[in-house]
Amino acid sequence: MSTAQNITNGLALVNVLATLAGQAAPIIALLQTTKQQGREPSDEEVAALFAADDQMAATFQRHIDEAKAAEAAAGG
Amino acid sequence: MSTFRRLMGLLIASAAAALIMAAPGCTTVPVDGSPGVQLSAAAQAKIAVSVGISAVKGVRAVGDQLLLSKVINAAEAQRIQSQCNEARAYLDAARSLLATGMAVDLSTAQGKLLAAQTLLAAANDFFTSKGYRG
Repeated sequence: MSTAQNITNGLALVNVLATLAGQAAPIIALLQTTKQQGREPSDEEVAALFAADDQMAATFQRHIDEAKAAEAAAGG
Repeated sequence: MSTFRRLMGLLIASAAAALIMAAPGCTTVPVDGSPGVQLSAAAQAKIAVSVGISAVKGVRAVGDQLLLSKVINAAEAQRIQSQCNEARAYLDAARSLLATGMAVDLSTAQGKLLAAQTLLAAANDFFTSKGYRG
């Protein structure tokens, strides 16, 4: 693997790590809160988590569609 | 072990731990070390659903980052998205079953959660195959 490719993959990994840390933080905070209070997550808290996934799914799909179009353009 | 592996493992292991706590026969467990604070199996399953949906969102976010970084292509990203959609469908079903509050639905909901966890583990294996290993 070339140095440039190594750097590219390294930067990608840094972004992925930051993303994962950001994704894990809210649920860890919620679990800590519910544990301290000895309660389950409320319906509103669960609904917010599902809504956040809806938003992420839409963003991911938009980027996929853009990548498909770019790949098609590059191939054509 | 790499930070990536630890964080991804944290999401999936948390879901697994929550599932184990919600297993049949494990009706209550202490949650803060004090004997007086316990959650029902249904409450633990609700926590498992919460962790599970967070893991699904995390997998989507990682897939998005890898796509934007051009580590994976559109077809690979679409497969991750489809896997997440399938896991999400199981979580939606588990959430609906738990909302009924019927004991008979708890084991069914756990089955849905386990199916979702299997899909998330497969996504983790894919990321590992792309070079993000410990």
